[in-house]
Amino acid sequence: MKLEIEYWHRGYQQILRDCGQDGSVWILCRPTVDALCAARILSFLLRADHIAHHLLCCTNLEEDLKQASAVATCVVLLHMGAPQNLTKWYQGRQIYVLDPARPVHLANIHANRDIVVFWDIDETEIPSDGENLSGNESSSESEDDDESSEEDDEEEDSSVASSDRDEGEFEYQDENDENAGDPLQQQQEENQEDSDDDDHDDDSSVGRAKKPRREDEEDETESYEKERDTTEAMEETEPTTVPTAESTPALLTPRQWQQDRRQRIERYYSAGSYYGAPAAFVAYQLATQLRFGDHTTLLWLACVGVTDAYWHGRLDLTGYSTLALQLRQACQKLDADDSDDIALRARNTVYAEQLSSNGATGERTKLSLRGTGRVFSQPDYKFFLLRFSSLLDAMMYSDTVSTQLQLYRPAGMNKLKELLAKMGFPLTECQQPYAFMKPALRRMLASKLQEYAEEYGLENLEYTSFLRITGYQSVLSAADAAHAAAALLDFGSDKDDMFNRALDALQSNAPPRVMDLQNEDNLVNGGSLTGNPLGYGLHLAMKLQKKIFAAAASLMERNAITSLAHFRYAYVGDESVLAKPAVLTRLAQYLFQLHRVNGKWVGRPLILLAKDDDFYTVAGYEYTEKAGDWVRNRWGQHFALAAQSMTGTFSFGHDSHVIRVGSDDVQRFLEQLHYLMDSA
Amino acid sequence: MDFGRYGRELLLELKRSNAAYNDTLVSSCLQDLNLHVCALGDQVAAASRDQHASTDGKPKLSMSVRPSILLQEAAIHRNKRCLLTYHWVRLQRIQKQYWSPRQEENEEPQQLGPAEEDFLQAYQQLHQRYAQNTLPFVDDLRAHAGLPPLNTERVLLRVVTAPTEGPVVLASGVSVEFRVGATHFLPWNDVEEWVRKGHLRVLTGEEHNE
Repeated sequence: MKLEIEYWHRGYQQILRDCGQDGSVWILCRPTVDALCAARILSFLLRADHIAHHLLCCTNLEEDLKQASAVATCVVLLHMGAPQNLTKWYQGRQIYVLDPARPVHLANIHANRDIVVFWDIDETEIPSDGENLSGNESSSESEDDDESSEEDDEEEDSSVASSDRDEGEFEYQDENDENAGDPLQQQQEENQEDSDDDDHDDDSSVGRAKKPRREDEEDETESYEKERDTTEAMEETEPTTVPTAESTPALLTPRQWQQDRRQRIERYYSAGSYYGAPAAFVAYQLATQLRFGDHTTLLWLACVGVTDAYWHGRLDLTGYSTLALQLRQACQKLDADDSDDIALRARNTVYAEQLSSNGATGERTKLSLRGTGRVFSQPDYKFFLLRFSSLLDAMMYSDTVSTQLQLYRPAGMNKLKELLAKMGFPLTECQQPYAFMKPALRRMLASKLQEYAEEYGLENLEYTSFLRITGYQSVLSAADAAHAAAALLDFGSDKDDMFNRALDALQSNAPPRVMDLQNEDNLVNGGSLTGNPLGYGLHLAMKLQKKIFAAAASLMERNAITSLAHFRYAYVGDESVLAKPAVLTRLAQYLFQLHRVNGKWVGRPLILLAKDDDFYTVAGYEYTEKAGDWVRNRWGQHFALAAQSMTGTFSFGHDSHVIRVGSDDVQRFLEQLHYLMDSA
Repeated sequence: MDFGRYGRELLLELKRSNAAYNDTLVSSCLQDLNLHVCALGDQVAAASRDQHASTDGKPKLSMSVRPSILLQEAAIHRNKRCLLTYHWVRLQRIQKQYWSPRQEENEEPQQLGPAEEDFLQAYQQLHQRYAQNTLPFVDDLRAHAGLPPLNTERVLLRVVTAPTEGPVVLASGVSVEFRVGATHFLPWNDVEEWVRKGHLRVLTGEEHNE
């Protein structure tokens, strides 16, 4: 079932009820920064309620779900599971899904209370419950084929039906739960009430949420007649609804209705994949609905998760602005100093003279309080790790500056140096760590950029960022924390070790120190793996950014990006870190932006291939007109079709637009892909 | 005046050995510090007299004395930093001696001066008084060093090495399967022994940062 935003707390209350005294929750967490932030928030909530829980890094969902089902009271999936049919692996344990990936598999939506999806987007059309929720059947099959495929689907849907609950047992649980005030039961009832008022078509699934799963396949005529009755009842309450072919199935034969439903399911899945609100934001909203809205640490984790989603292309500019506004309001609520209300800030200011009994008059000394842990929002530059590197490096390795000035060319570097010179910043100062630059120059930076940046085509250099005070006059931005944690996840081969390093880095309150990021050996003044994981993560983040830029420059210098009729593709290289999907995403975004600026690319999507042991990680990306835009990614379907139509070794991950292909099959896979797109 | 040489020697001695408190060197460092303070005071006074002698009326130190004043100030700060560092490190070693009385095989024993012995004794008494007043069932705080004091708490743990194979049901009724690297939140009673043996490591959560 889908749990709407205003009722998320009911899902959590259900977890508490299910666990009781000796139950436990298994949190299966995908190794992404967003999921890690959500895991930390959720773990905090469960610790506050003294609920035993276990947090594991999950790379094989099916295997881990089966393992968890043996011991867990309920399972929470973070940043995974929504697009997969979880009912296939469901073994009697409640599953809660906080996953921004869309579209959500219909079997998960119609799985009653067994699977609860925290829902943040209002889908306008969700196909109803019934057979073929995976959308595997084509709409052109005959009735005889329908009957035979029903038997095939029965095996798939039987996992939905055979939840070891027959109708009688479900009703028994219904009564019991109603008497005990079951939060999810209440939610289902409210969903059913709301569905009567919804302006959905006859396939609204919400009203059917309470109906028990049928074990036997229902006759199509019966289901068709029930749909018709439901539609007629809805039409009586909504006389203003204009009757269409879809809303008046009385005009369709059962076969036509079935075909129509198949088409709707096909449209639902074929529209392409996209993302909703990040899991960390969802977890923070859940925390505010409970009693934890005033914890700045949880707010900080939400900021890091949202920022990570933005920098890794899972949130477009509009989405980030919307969420950033809400987080900014939360910051102001928690900290009056961040408020726009000047009078409020003045009331909260403390002066040293006020603390002495004689109350000296004259010039007063404002006390700057330690404020460690305070989170506030302010515009920040899109420079890379500015606070922990030099101004020159931060601009050189910034996506915005690097693409706009085409820094991979010598002429581009000259432009950057010219800009700095015009701004009055000596090169030697720009090569110093930013924290050690002359204060006068740092104060001038904003005004000088405003004056000269436009001349070089540098627009939109600022964005709303979130910062946290980590020590006296020491500040960490959410982007820096996200980059550091992401780098810790991307480097290294032991997945549990990488996962825990990143988890510790997000929890670390120790301020990362300014260090010489040029000298890889010099970690004495910076972070070490055991001492300060966040500092080490920052060091790796700069290293990773350099690798990404170097890979892009290499592709362009060698003209290694091949253009075909339907897409462009490129083999990225042999480094294992470049085979990580998150890294490929950043590389693709960088390449798109680079070629948008020089006008060489228009319209065609991009496929990147990176070698990873005996496989190739193949990732497909859609082209957008502007940086920060988002279009639905249809590569998942193309990849699935190509994999089905040829023999080879394939493996799908959590992201539908990423597939792992055996090294021997990758070239044929590309050819097959092109052939299928050509013939479509 | 040695411009911070004694301070540097203090630090070098810290790095070199676990020798006893070097009272002589500390005294020399303090003496050097005082000499620099007096010299700075004299220079500033002399420079102020010269200012009054100037004709333009604006108070300005002569350029010729400024480097000297800056150098004196730097020497004073350096001596102070070295003294503070020396005492801080020795303090840490004394506290470590209390909390971890068993030493590593290759580690030299820390030698303490008379004042440091007194400090260690006072530190021990302070902890014993605290334990008696607040935790009557605890004989020695050192037995619980780094571990949660209350048996009924649940603690956040990370698995260093799996203490059991396969799923296991703990005394409290919680089922768990320990996997290396996984994080668990479990009753302290159930896992205390495994924590002491090093299979599990206690973590701190966000609530400790608030």
